[in-house]
Amino acid sequence: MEEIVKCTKLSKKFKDKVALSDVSCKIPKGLTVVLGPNGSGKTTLLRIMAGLTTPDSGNIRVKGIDVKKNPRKVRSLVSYLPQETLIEEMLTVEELLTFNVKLFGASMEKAYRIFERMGLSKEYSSIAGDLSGGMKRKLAVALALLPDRDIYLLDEPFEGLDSGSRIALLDILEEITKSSSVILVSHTVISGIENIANYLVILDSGRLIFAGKPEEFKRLLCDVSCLRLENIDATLLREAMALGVIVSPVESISLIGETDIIEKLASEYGGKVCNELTIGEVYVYMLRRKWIYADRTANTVLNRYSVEN
Amino acid sequence: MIECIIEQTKLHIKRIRPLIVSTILFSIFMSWLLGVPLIIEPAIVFLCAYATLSVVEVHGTNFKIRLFSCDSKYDIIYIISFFLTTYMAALFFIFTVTGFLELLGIFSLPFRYTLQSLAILFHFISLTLIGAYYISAFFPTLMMGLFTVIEMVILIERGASGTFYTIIVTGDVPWILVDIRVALIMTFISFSAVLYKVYHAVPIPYGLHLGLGSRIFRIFARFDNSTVVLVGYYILLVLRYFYMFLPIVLIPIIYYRLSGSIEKINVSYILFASITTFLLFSVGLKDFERYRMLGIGHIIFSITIFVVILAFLNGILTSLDPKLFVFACLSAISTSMIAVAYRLRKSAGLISKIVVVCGVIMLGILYAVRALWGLFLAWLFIMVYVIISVRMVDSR
Repeated sequence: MEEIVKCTKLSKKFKDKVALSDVSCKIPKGLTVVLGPNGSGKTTLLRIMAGLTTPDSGNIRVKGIDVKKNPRKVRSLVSYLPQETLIEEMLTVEELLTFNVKLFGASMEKAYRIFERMGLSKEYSSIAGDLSGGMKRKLAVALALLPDRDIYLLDEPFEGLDSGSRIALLDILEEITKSSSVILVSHTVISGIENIANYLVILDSGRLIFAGKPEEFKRLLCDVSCLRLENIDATLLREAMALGVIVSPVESISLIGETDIIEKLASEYGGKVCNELTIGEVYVYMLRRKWIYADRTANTVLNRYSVEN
Repeated sequence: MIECIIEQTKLHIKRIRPLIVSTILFSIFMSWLLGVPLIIEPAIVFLCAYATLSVVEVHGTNFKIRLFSCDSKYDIIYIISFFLTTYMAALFFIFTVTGFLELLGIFSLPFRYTLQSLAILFHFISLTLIGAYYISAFFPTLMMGLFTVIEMVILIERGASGTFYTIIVTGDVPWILVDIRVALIMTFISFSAVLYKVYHAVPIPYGLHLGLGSRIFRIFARFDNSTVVLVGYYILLVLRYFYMFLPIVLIPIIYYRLSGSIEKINVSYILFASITTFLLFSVGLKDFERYRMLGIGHIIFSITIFVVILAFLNGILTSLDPKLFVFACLSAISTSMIAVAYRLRKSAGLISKIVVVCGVIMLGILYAVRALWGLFLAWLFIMVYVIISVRMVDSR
């Protein structure tokens, strides 16, 4: 497995707030999703990878290059999308496209193709500042995908995008990962991402909770099942929550909990119990509970998981 | 890398497209008003200044992304540009001062005063530029620099102030008219630059979102989306943000009331110290409305500058001292070094901190040699002010 990023004991503090604490992981080639709740250190990790933030301690290598020693060389391999939408608001969409193509050394053909797929081709003559917030975000994401780079570091690329654009972006990312690597940060699991992601990194409060393949992540939960609801039944929801069941709204409404409780609810209210949870469901379940982890190794962090009520 | 710089310059020209028209119209208007030939060079200077200021803002917001452009050598362009812009902006404002000096006092400015202005402002602008964000106005700066250098050569040869066009094309001209024109243009620049963030250099309807005046104005803008409307809009905004300019206007008056007399050169120093500081701090801010604290900070700053610096300038600058020029240059170099090191403190870490400390010590020694402790204290104050301002804005 070819690794593109190797972090060793990365730590970063902003005044008294710990952003990252002893984070070690090896990110392989392909699409990696960095997940975590707000303030978990995802953006800091991405910025460190991009050479925009210096870690207080620890080492980070991107494609074997030490980011601390050689940030410029790393930047030449990377395309970066910041969390904030930064675009030249006074230019038209087409002017922005041309400008970025020349500035970042991309091909016009590829640029037009990406803009077309992201649904921006109708907006070529619009002034960027006039676009809606979602369209601006879409534009920023499209611009970050223009350069031909080895690694794309994307901070919350799905945030603010409509469902059509999300699907288009997933398609583009799938295509990109054939030749390059993508590391994207998200605070939530995007529907469909599990089909193309080949690695997951999960952070919470600056600590690494999990780093490994999506299948490994799914296997972390034992004796946990879910009940996917087609219709919302208020009585069921109330009872489920009283029993400590987690309600996940990620893809559809799912009730996730220990198998015996879920089976009990299913027998009472009907519905089919699923034993195989999606990444989104596992993530929500584990996030809402307290993460309890012990021995940490390079690839699989969570050896033991228990529920704390 | 050159191609990259050219592309960025083209972008900045696009940003100021609407202003090119308005500036030319303004020049024509002023020429007509004063009954003199068309004055085109202040328009060029204006555009250069405007482009530089706009770039300062661009790199404040988009620096994170730009770092990955230009074969990832963007930070080199930034550092070079920072130094260049610092010096060129200093030179640029010297000529603004000479224009205003004559405008204020209607007196002929001796060469030695110009040189002294140069020395002090060279140093002062360098300090104030620390507060400006990332700059890579490479070409606009070069243009501005070239222009000011030509003027300087003429200035030295003639022993008086004047502008390039009038000297070359019109020959013998009444100096006072030339300088009044320059001064007026510069006033326009000052206001335009301050209002830059509000207006954003986009067609008029997109900037109209502020206050009652703008709402009334919007009605007219619907019928006439032209440059005349744009200029009118500026005037409205000047009125709207007048409270921000108030300390600048009031300080010389207060000084006069307290001391009973004031030298014209001091008035100029106060005005330009305050205005340039204000301008350079203003760019890069998202909206004046949201940064009232900075306005208050500026008022306190202006008063302190007035008290600390002027008391020393008053007695010191009475005779020509060529060494002062060298001294100012050294100060400017040290200051720029500190400025760059401060901006790079996160990536350069310890080295940057060492440079800052060494720079401060070097400046301290320089000032001590000149026995200008007051200026040094003022400089320290400015540094603290700048750092607080930058952090305040960064944290938002």
